[in-house]
Amino acid sequence: MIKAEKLTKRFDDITALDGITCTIPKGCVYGMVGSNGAGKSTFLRLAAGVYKPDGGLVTVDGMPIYENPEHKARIAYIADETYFLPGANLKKMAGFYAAGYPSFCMKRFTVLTDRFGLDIKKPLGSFSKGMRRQAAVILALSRRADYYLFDETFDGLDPIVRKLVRSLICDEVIENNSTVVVTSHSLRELEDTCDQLALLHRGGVVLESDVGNLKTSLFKIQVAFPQEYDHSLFDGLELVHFTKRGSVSNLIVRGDRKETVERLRVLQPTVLDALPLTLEEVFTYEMEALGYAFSETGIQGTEQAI
Amino acid sequence: MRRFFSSNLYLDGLRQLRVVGVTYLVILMISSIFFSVFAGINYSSYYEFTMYQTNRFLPIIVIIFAAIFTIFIFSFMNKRNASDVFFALPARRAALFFSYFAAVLSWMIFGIIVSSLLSILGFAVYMPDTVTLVVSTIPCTVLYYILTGFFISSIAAIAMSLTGTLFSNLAVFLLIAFAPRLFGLVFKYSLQDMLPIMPDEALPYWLIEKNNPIFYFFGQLVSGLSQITMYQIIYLLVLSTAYTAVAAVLFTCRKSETADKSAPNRLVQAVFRLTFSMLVCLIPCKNILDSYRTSDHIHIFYYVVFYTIALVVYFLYELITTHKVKNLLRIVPTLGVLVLMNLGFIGGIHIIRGIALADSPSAKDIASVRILDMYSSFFGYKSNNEIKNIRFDNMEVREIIAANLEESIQKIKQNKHDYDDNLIKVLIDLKGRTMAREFYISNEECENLMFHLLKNPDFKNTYKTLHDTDSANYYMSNNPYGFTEREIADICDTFRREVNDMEFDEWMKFISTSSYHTDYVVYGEFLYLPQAIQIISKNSENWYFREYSISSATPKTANKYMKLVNRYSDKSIISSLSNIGAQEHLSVRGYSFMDRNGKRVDCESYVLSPSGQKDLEFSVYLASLYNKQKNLDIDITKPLWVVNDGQTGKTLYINQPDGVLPDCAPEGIQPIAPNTINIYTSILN
Repeated sequence: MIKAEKLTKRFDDITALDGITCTIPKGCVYGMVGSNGAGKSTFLRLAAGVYKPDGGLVTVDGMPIYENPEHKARIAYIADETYFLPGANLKKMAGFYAAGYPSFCMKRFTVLTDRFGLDIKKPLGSFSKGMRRQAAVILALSRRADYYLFDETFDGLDPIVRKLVRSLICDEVIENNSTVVVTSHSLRELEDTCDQLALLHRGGVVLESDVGNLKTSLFKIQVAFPQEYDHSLFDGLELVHFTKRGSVSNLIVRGDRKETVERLRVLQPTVLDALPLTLEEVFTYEMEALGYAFSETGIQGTEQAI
Repeated sequence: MRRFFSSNLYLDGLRQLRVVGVTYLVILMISSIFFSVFAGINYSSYYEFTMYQTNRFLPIIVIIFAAIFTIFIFSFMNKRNASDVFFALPARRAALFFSYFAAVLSWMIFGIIVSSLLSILGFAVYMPDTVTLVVSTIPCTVLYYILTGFFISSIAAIAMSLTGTLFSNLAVFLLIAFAPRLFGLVFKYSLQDMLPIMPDEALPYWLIEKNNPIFYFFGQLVSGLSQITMYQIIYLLVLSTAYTAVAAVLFTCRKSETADKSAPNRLVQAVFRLTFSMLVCLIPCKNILDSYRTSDHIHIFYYVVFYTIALVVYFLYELITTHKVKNLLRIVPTLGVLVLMNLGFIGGIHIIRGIALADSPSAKDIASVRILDMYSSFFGYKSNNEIKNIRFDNMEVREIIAANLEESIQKIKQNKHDYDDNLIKVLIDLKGRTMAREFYISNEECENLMFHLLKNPDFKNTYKTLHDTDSANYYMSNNPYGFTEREIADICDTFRREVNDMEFDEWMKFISTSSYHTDYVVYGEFLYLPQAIQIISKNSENWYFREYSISSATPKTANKYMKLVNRYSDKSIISSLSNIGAQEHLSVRGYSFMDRNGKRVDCESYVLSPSGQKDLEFSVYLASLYNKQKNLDIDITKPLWVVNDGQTGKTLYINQPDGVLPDCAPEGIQPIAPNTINIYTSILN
């Protein structure tokens, strides 16, 4: 489990993370979404032990990460900008990581390079951006880590490779109970992969929740009545959002869907539809409830991503 | 141990440095081979080679590559993505640092050892047998090379830990490598110019420039040999270790986010900026001090130019390292610090000068005096290591030293620059402290001082004694006859014993006139042959080289030498004397003859000619004279013929028993009065 308690990190005059508190359970695929400068990469670097916190604490299984080689050996961190030793190829980099990480598995490395179809002797400098990312993923997964921290790794991967990486991550989680943290500024990227999602904005966690829970706990009701009515008709429901055009109202409701539909049916509406929300819509309404505008975050929504 | 070192990372470091390391090895090996061949051609007339002389390029290559190795291995700190990868490794920061640093040192040491072995091998192959490698210089020199590499690497490691761009890496490296020494050098020379009585011995050890290996080795390339001392080795070891510890701490504290930044914070950035600017300011500062000392006219334009350059450096450094024009305005207030630094430098020297000039002990305050060095034609040249341990506590010596020191101080205060002929450097022992001072004294004072110094039997004995062969090596200045090593050693040994057995008065006369003469010379009381004994010796700090011509001051040595020369020359010259022939290549000169008034005369050189009436007769006479004395010793103090064959270069020495020119001597052999200048009898009286 990765736990952050009032985690703070400053760079000169800028506070990149401002007292973040969150828990990433073991065996979970945790997504962190946020715009540029939200603090996602900073959080991952703190979790990887690259940065030292200026305030608060980040622990892995209860132990601080910074200057803790035993725990750092269990973490594989893939930065947003890949780096390889000058003039190195995949084989040389495998040697580098094998020297640093006791759990590095050459056998797994070989299997993965075959699956991705990369030439281990070709200089990494000659690889495309996408291929370098694939190389970084291979090297990370070969470390057989307990914790994988992917910083915008999916960006730059083509859909087929993305699917492959997603399946490999899932395999790691299922087989080895690994914990994966993925950051992105695209909800669509994370929707299919993550169990939990957190939204970061300006150095703080705005929203954190189970993905399934997010999608099911909030839903849209379209309802129409022949008579005049207003939102007071729906007192008793946990209304997150209410709009009315003519006789048709759109309600965003938190709660049990079946129960809510039954309650409304009693009122004998002329139209009654319960619709699921997209993740973007969920985030939009949840953030509105918290006083934020989703558009501020600059996050790519689900429709736009598609 | 794992807190500070990881064998996996160390091996990885070795691998990462492979390309640089191989390049380094190849360059070292080429330099070793090149120098061996070059030295074999150009230095074959030398007698001894030190380890340093086998490859003078080696330390320079080590200095350059030590920096390259370190910058290369730690260059990940200059890029954020690289920095993230390395700092994410499961290793403590200290372990990462020391493992990689050890990899750097390993490559460096390996190269030094390989190159040194190759140099020794090259020396054995290319140098003639007459030249020997001084084996005792090998361990010290190789160790100093290793420590030099250690030193440079530690400085580079500090620079890498402090800065995050290649430009600032190099700038700070140069700053740390040179700035302290440059500051120290300018400070030292400014102080010594303002205070000529302040020798190096009065200054802190770290101010002496040869203790910085960069200055030392580059100085060696220019000025030549100077022995590495144990002090230098220990100093460098301590300094390098301290620098490495600083680098390790900085590395451990280093924030990964500092990658791509010229300095970790504004304070450090300001320190760098001010240091660079102050280096430029040293020039006008020195000039201001010189103007004060010499009362020269102050050249305002000169100061304007250099202080403008300092300002340009100040702002340019900020601009190049931060790429932010708005910072230029922000750093203006810190110029005040630069002004204070200038004032501090100039003011500091004035303060030290004032304190030193006020420190003029009387003879009563002085417990004893030790002579460190005497640069005077009176004293000859003497290894000062033995003399400086002798404490002179007689009042006369103390009075002379106190009086002359005070006189020098007064001259400095009055800005007078007329110096006497003789420079003396002393340690003055006072109650609870010792001070080193250096000043000039007149010839009269010098004689007076020497007279009182000689009252000390230890000084008299030390001053006269030449070194034993254990601590010195004896050679002949040239060997045209092809004497064997044993014959040369025999002559040198005779010389050493003969000189050590001299009475002191004779010794004083001898050393005052006995520098190497390339021709036959009568100087003072003695006849000098064109052959010298060379003595190369060393103490803990320096090498010493002296030459003493073979002369009538050392008759046993002269006898041995002349008999050997005769043995190699007699057949050829006797044959030529018996048959002068058409070629006029035999010449004769005579020394220490008597004229009719019983006064000593010498004979100018005369070329024997077959057309000369008496020449043939004289030639036969000389041949016959030689044959009679062939097995006898040759006395250089007695009348002596020197027969020289201009064609073969050979020489024959023949004593004239009765001291009078024979009747058969050709008229062209003209006797002349010799030079009979006596020197230094006043000291002995």
